Amino acid sequence: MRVLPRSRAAEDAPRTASGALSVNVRISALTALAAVSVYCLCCLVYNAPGSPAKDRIKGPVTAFMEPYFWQDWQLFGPTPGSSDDLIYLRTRMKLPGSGQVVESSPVEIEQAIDRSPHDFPVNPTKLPGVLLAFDAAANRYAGIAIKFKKLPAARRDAARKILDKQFAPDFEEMRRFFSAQARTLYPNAQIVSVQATFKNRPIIPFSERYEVPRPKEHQQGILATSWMDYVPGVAQ
Amino acid sequence: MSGTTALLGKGWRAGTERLDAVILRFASHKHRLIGTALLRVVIGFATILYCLSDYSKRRFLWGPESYNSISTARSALPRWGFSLFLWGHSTVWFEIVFHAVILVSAAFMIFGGRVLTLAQAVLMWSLHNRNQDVLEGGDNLAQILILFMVFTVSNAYFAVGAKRRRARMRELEQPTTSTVLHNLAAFLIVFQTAVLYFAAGYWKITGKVWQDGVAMYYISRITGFQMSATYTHLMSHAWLTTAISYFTIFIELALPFAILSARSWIRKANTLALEGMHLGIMACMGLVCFGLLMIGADCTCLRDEDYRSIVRRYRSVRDRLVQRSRPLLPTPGMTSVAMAADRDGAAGA
Repeated sequence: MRVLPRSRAAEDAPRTASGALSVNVRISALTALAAVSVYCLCCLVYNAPGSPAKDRIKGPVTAFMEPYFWQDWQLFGPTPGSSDDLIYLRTRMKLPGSGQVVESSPVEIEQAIDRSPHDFPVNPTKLPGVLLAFDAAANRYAGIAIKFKKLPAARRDAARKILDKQFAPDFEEMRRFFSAQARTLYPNAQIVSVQATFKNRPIIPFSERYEVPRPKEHQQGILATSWMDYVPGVAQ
Repeated sequence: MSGTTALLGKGWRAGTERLDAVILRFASHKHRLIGTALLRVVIGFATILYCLSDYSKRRFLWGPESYNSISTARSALPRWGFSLFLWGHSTVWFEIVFHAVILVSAAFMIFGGRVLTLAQAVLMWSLHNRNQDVLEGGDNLAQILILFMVFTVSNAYFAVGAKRRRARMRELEQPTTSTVLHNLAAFLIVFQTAVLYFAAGYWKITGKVWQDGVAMYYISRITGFQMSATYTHLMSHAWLTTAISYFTIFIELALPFAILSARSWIRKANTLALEGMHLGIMACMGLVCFGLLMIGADCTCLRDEDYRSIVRRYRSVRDRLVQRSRPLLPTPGMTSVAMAADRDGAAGA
């Protein structure tokens, strides 16, 4: 029988006495230990749930942790969505002969993209992540915009402008993405502009999952973008 | 007066001796070499998979003509953030950097070493910062861990020349700064992983659907995370969905305590449970790169002795199975000792 050592740790146990520690090692170890202690403390505070105590030290801790140690583990403990997201794309195109502009009927594009990982489950595409980001942006925008209804009319427009400016990069991404999608849907058309409507469809609640007849899943509107000019040349 | 001075001197000596003992523990022997090596292999492999998952769509997702234009990506960069992809607008530059990510990841996976770790860190951060829409969460952890890995010896196992490197390490007698840095970085990797799991467990336990035990049902109903109809069907089962939801919270909250535990079976059981959970996420939810990166991080939670004891157990089970099957498969003229020596290349005791 081959006998393996119980533990390699015993073999490689420290063979040096404390006197063997050189000044260089001692200084570098102490410096490194101090840096590690600071990181550990900051990391614990950074990840702690919000509290008045955390508010007092949040500033310096955030300055230390961001951007290279930025972390958000709430993503790992999410409250799962209770609805499926849908995106309806409409396209305005010029007819080749008359130059008349026509509008397509809304086409739902998200569910097909969300199912695209099934094409190669071993190493699925990351494309659904793009729409997940768009849905999150649309929900955030709608959530803030809905609060503007309480503002006086004079302030409402100014607030909307600020919000649009904040979300400009998100809408620019959407404009380019939906332009590429419209090009895929209508490859030979002369596309003028695109428009997207974000909706969601609630998942049948757990308590009603075996109900007969099956409960209806009503779609709810979240956000309808304005018509966005078509962007040519986006990679397909 | 002289008594007080003597007492202070004694206290100072005791304090410095204790501090020396701590430093000596960090400086004389490199810990968690197997875990960090596994993490290295996993990060390299997951990055390659990440690039290959959308290889045909790479220009659409990360290229200069991407839906996520260079100016938009630049505006989304955090302060001090960088991405080599944003340094040029040409397709040639993009192709060079994109393929460099794949090649460096492969080299990092095979060879390891501090220079390659640094190169991998720069290229991985660049890729992630180029398009943040397609990140899965595990990338966030990998971005942090790779920074710590720059200070570790991650190629003492599962790398070209690993055996030679280990032999050289054993020859080295005196404590070194490199060993201190390796051990502290390995500690930070484990600490960060433990913080992640504890935070994830905490956020889950405060969520209503997790408390009700129906979180898995809702997750399995979201189209984007629905890779198998069987999984969706199974999650409709009240007992099963509740058990999985609660078990997930339990193993996540338990990890920091399991790491600190002196009983190795607790560490091994907890880590294996987490790895099983991530294998489930990979298979049922399609988050392959995420699952792999998390498994890599889980691997660092076990000590080198834990891995050795797992290998010992595996070998003893295998030998027992071989012995049992021997009457069915006779090997004339060869004893079990000779067979074992032949296989392992080592003499028996």
